[in-house]
Amino acid sequence: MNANIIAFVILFAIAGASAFIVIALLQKSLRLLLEDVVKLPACTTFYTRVLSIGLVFIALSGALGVTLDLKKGSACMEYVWKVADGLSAAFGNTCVFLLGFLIVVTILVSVLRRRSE
Amino acid sequence: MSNETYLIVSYFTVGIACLVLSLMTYALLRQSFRKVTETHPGGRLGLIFRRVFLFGITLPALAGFFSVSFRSCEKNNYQAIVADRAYLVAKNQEQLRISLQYLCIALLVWTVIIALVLITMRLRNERIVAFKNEEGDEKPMKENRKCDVIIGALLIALGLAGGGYFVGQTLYNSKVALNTAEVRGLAERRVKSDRAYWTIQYTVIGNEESEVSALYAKSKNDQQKIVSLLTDNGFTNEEIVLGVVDYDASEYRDKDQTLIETKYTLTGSVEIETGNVDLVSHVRSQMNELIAEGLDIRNNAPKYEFSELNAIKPEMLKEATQNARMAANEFAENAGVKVGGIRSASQGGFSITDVGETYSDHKKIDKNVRVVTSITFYLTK
Repeated sequence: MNANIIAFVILFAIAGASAFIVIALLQKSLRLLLEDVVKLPACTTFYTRVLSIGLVFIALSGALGVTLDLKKGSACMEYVWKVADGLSAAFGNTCVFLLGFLIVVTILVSVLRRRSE
Repeated sequence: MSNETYLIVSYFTVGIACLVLSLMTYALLRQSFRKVTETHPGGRLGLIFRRVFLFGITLPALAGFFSVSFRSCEKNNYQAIVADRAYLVAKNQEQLRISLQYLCIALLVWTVIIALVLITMRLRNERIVAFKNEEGDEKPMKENRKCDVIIGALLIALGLAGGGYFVGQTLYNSKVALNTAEVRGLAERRVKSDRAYWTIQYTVIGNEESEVSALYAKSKNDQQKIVSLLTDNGFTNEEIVLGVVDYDASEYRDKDQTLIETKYTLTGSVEIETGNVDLVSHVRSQMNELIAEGLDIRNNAPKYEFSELNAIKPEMLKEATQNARMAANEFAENAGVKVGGIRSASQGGFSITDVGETYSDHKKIDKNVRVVTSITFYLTK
């Protein structure tokens, strides 16, 4: 198989896996927080699903930003650097999306918690 | 599969993929979104939200897909676009990438909307409770207002900080992080002259004033011989211009100012202006025959000119620009970036010199035409 395609598959897999790791780490605590504060199961489902879908899409979009068009016979490290470029974009996008999402959730939780108190 | 077939198939495939992804996202969120908006106190607003949600998810994904243009600075016509398969693949990737990004932005916007729905819902519930407890304490109300002010201030501060960040980033990108490469492109052509100017002078000299009329007749005779030689070798009468005959009387005296000799000179000229440059060099050597016959001829070197510069200018400028882009590509490749559009360009003067010469420009039939362009390219990641 073409080395460019293999590198692209690896890049996609790592970007997707990183998104799933973040989702796995955040989902449970986010669900508990929202159930506690919002007290509306549909809202909890909505926010956790938006987080999951958003993180996967944004990580994959970062990975798609790299064009793997190295010539045949390129050194292995050149493929590694290309994959690293893609991962850099994927992680950067993930951070920006998380930042936006967390700002919204923080404002929502802080407002609703104040009201509850 | 030909590149054109690939372009058509991949374009519609990626478009459908973007649409399917957005519909899947909608399907995953639809139920929970409906339930949240149903709890909103303003029933009609919730209904509007539910109806808009489908478009609010699918349209950004499609907008992202459609926003990618296949035309660029390097590929500005259909043939150039279709010729490069790697370029088509990169564009498909870009379409999918931008579509996913737009979809994620849309999702964030919807989370903000849902947050607003929840907050207004809670506010309304509180008002109902407060209305029911008319005897309630005023203190919690004041505290709530204080909290509202703090949260409002926080939101405004956040908005200002976010706005400031993006404005700053834009200014930074436009001024500081502006990556450019200034390069020069050379284009050179070897061309053949298309005009030749040649002047032949002939002289007759006598020692007596009485000879002048005879000298004039000889001069006319010499002129006729020269013209005959020219026309016999292929020049037309239109190409030959006969000059006026100059008369000059020179006196030669000794140290006591005694007149020793007077010379009467008649000098005429024949000028040739022709587009048949090869004929000039050929006929020039034939002039020796007239010298052998006793004619006093001055066989001047012809001047060769190239007058069709405007015809080759566009091609040469194109070639110079292409060479400049190649030089910029070398810079970009070493720096790990790509060459973008042209920021500024200036054209140097066209220079025409004789082949193999540095300065002269009219001695040889073959000429070198040269132009240098200075171009500043944007460098993009």
